[in-house]
Amino acid sequence: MKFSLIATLCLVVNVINAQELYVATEPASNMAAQSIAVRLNNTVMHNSRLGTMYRLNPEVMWGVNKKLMLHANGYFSNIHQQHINGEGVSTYAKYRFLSVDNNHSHFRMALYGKAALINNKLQYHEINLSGDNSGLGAGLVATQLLHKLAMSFTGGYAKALNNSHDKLIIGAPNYGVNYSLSFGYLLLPTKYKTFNDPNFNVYVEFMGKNNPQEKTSFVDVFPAVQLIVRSNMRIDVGYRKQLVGNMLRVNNQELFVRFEYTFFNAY
Amino acid sequence: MKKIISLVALATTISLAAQAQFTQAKLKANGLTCSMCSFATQKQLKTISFIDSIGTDLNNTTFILYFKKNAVINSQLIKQKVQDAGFAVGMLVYSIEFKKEVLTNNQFKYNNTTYVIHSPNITTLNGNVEFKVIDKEFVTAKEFKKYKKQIASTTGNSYVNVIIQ
Repeated sequence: MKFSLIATLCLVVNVINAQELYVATEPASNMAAQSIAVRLNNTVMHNSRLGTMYRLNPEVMWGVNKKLMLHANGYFSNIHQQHINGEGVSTYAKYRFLSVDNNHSHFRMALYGKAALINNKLQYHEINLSGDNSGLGAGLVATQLLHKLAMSFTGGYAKALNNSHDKLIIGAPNYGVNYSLSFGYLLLPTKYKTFNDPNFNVYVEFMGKNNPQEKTSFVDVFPAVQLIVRSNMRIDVGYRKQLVGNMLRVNNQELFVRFEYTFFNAY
Repeated sequence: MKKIISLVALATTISLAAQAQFTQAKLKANGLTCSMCSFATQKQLKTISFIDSIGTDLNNTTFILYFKKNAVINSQLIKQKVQDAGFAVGMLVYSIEFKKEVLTNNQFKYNNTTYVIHSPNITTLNGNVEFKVIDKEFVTAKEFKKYKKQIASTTGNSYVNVIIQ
């Protein structure tokens, strides 16, 4: 009896899975070396003052080696003007410096850096290096995978610089801190048969920013679902909504849809 | 001269035939659970030239590596490919076919690599034998602590420390 209970428990532990392919943030883990992934990130926002706004963010990711990965992003949107315009580019690098792996679990830590060159008008006080602001950012990511659950924490600093065609608003903050706490959970399949089995994951992420200079802040909640097909195609759908906050931002809520394809051993 | 060459060729063939055959290995990758991660690992392993084909057990993140005949097996390369995928080797167990191999000091040599067996006095190996690699980064960090002292004198690129499964 005792043995069968232990055997059943072992079996359950063996088929349990977890996910850390977060939708809004990056885990401390990197993609496989020599892999390249392409993404199309789509954000839709709407408010009565500005109408419907859309941002397209094509992204290329490269697993340079087991410790380093790089992202390159382009931004196009009608957030800062009537028509959709090219807004600029950003690049992101992440270096994994700690990895403790065990059976169906791991703990990883990584450092990241981000640089953005953006030509938008500067109108808001949120420092957003993903399309709105030119600037530099850096931070730390820690991710724990524990059976069914993957948890991740990010803490970072962002420094806003003058945009290509606009100077920082006088009196607006020029640096900020950002943090996030993310949870991921694999719902399906409960047991794998082949690499082609679709994976279905659910996520909830909390993301906050703080502008110490003007003592403003916000915290958003971002629930999301994810479908992975044939182990290399991924679709993410999420909805971001502000829980609390007093910062001047473009919008307090947005719909997010991502398409991603990974080329393993790309070269 | 021709005779010498053919004699040398013959001798090489005989020594190859007498040598142990690495038939397959059971490889467990640690630190992953999702099929995308297993897929990335399998894709990395597929680039190894001495591997003929790969079987997978996704639920246990375990791979069966089938080796090409008479291939030169490189344990470090297997480890490197798993790490390149972003994970760690949790277990590597070789299946080796012996033809009455007599051992000295619990060791046998295969393509310039000395395999040191850390199991009680083995004098002869015959038939299929399974060896688990116990070198650093071939078992979990916790498990390695158990073997660290035992294998200290035979650690290096030309040695592979194993125990009989």
